[in-house]
Amino acid sequence: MRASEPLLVEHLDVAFAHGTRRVVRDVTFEVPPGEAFGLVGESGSGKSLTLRAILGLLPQGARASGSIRYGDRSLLDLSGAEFQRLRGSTIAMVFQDPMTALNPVLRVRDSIAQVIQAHDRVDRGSARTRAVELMERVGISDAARRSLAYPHQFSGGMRQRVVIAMALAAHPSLLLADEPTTALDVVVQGEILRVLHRLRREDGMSLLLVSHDFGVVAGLCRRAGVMYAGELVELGPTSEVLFRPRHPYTVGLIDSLPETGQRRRLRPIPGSQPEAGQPIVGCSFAPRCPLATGACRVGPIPLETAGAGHLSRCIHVDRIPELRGRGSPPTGEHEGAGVVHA
Amino acid sequence: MIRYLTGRFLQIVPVLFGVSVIVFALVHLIPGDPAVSMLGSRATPELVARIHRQFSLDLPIWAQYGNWVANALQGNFGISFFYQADVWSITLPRVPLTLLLIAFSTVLALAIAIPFATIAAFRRGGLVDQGVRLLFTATLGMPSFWLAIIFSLVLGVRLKLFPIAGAGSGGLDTIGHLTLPALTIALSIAPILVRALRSSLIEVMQSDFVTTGRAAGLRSRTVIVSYVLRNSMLPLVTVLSVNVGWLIGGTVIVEQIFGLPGVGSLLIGSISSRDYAIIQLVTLVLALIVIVVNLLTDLAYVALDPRVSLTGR
Amino acid sequence: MTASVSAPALPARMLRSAWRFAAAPGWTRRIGLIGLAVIVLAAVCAPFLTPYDPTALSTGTGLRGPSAAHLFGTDQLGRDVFARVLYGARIDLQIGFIGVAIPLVAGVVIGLIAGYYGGVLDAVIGRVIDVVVAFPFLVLVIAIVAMLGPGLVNFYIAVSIVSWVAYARIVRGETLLAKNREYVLSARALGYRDARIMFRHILPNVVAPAFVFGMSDFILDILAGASLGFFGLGVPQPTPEWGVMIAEGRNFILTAPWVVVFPGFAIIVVGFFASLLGDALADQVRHIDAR
Repeated sequence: MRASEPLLVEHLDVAFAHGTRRVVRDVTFEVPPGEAFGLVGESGSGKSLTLRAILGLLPQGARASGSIRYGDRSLLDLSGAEFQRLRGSTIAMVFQDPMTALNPVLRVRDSIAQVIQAHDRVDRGSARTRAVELMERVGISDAARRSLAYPHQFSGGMRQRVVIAMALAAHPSLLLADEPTTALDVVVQGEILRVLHRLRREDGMSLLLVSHDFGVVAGLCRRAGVMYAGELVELGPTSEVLFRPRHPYTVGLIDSLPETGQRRRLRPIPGSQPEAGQPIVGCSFAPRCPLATGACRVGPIPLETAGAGHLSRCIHVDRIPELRGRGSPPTGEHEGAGVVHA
Repeated sequence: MIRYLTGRFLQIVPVLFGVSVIVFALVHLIPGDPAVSMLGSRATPELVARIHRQFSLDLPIWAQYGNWVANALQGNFGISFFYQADVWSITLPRVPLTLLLIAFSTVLALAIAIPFATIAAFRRGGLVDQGVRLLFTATLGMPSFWLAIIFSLVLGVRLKLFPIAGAGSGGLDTIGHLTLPALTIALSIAPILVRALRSSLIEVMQSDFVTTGRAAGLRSRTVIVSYVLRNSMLPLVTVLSVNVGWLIGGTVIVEQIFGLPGVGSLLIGSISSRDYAIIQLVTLVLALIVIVVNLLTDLAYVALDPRVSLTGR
Repeated sequence: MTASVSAPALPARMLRSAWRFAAAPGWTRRIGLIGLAVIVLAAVCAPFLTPYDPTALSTGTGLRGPSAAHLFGTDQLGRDVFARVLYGARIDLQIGFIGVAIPLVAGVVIGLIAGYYGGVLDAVIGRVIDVVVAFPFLVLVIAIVAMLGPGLVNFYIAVSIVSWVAYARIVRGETLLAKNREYVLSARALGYRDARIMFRHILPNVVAPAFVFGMSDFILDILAGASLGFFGLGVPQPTPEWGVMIAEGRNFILTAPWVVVFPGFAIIVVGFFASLLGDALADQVRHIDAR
């Protein structure tokens, strides 16, 4: 595996309908080599599309603009053939729904072996042997016998492991994970996250993880970004973002998490996220924000430093502690994720 | 496998029973005395009585049915007055040609439909796709008999490209004689096939596992063959088996127009000669072909889709 | 008895749905609708569109090509082809409409009852459907018409006997799904009678796919009717019908192709517009299902 390089996303825009509906707006972040970065946000926040833009897998009608660089390569300019060489071998992706992610007519061993053969000149026998080894690496026991199975004979957790094996088959240096555990039950979630953590550590692979679940991100990623309505509203070390959030949305998000061991009313954020693609003037969160003032609705709000390596898109950062007064700081435990700090 | 087949055959028994009831009942749709209709102008009281005896027309209906089935199982489906021979021996020799025509038409239909559907699906939304869709929507309503006579007279007689009458003398000559007829039938069901195949190709192309394959960096060719085409086989087989009835209908028409000695032309010819027994047997044979095709389709499912096992369904 | 629930009567709802469908944007549906409407109108207004009697023989003017006097030319008996195509449309369109209407109504009702009650009734109906479906459509229709004798009425009888199964199958499947949906369960919990639940509640929700199939069945019926006409099993002479016209003009294809080409085109054109309409309807139904 080649050494991982820095992934630099700058001012990324993703728009539909010839640019009139911007669903990802001016997103900028960096994933240093070998690091894990998490993107948190609700559905519709644009986090999945951000990921897909990196590998050129946007849906029909979507256009990406801005800059995405991996090392010294600009990814937005790649042709179809260049993308095919890049995918899998340099940057790989794991998707959300394991139940539909695998080709139903191929044995799992062949699904993995095909990926190996696409990037490496080996014969089918060697590819199949390597496929079995990969299955063992991702924690599938009795791999040799199980490799002959078809996807429908596997449970969701097992299928997701196969998907991860396919992603790793060509030794990528960066792994993109789009909600890899959302469709799995809580116990399996923890197992898959542990697999990801272990593989990352063993290979020195960079990881860009997207999830709506803060706990999942907290368990794996050193740095995290919070997305809302297509924008990055906060960016910083995970522990800082989690325990000392500097944006009202993040505060609301963490506050709304149910806590173990505490008897407390659920506190959802009132209102709802603006519809994807609608043009917004000023802060996108202003309509729901308890700190909003007139200044918040005028002109674009820039990302500003709010601490060491910590950025926030809020002009009232200094007033955040007012919000934090309500309810105690989260205990940092989240069911099922298993805190496995990088 | 044997167990599966026997199970399937058992499932077919009620259908076979129902089919035999309908075929038997056909003759009883005839208004008035079927014997008189059959004989037409030759009807005399003695001949009418003879027919009554032959077909047991004086017995209650269920007894008639019983007799009919008993006779049928022995291969006795009655006598044809027109041919002065027993119906079974008139019909049976013509079956292979009809089967050959059906098979040939299917192959040609696929040869036409698959390329068009594939190009349209892969260039979805573009000019080629729109053109293909327009062409095959317009030809959905093209009557096969119309196409048949145009082909036979223009391509066969005027341009003398293909022979147009009879089935030739076996082997390659027969294939030559069957080309125009098979092409006619193929063109009449191609629109249905193209539309359905294009649709299922597009659906497969948009499925999650195809995205997984692309994201893993598989070459386009691998994705198209192993992912898209292989998963489209099943819907294709389904569409074919659903439309086999229409294919057979076209075969009947085309056989008559091109003068091919198959069971289809026998059917049409027997209408004017009021050879009801032949009509019954041919209807039965064609229904049996449909049933067998459906059975083969089920077997094809098992072979093509690992999710379908021989034991479960 | 309490006052009836304020669900508007089925026919009114169907008219409203039909209007919404027709008025919606989309070129496919518009072209299909307008095309069919024009043809139906032309068939109805046939006497005003042509001065000729479609059955009037005229010796001496046989096999004339298309001209200002005879738009589509004349056939071997001197009859004006355009007039015959127009009057023939009356027969063939009728074949399409009636050939769909009767099996649709019968099939939908049978499928509804079979799906709703389940059990033995459903098993029996299911078996009957399996049996009828084993016959190729055209073959069974030909066989029945061969027995009953040629003619339009016998054709309708034959088609009705054979076609209802497709509709029954579709509606039965949909009814089985609908049976377990909340709106049915709550209707039953409210104590509504079965007939009311079936026809007022379930029927409007399951009937759409039957209409979609009806559009393609429309084309199939016209093709079948024309095929039977071609083989002399259709309407008696001298009534014009497109299949009959093609049969009569068969020997003159090389010398006077218009006799055969125009009726053939008529069938193709009707099929084309009906397909467009059917596609638009199918898209609409698909979107409703997806909601």
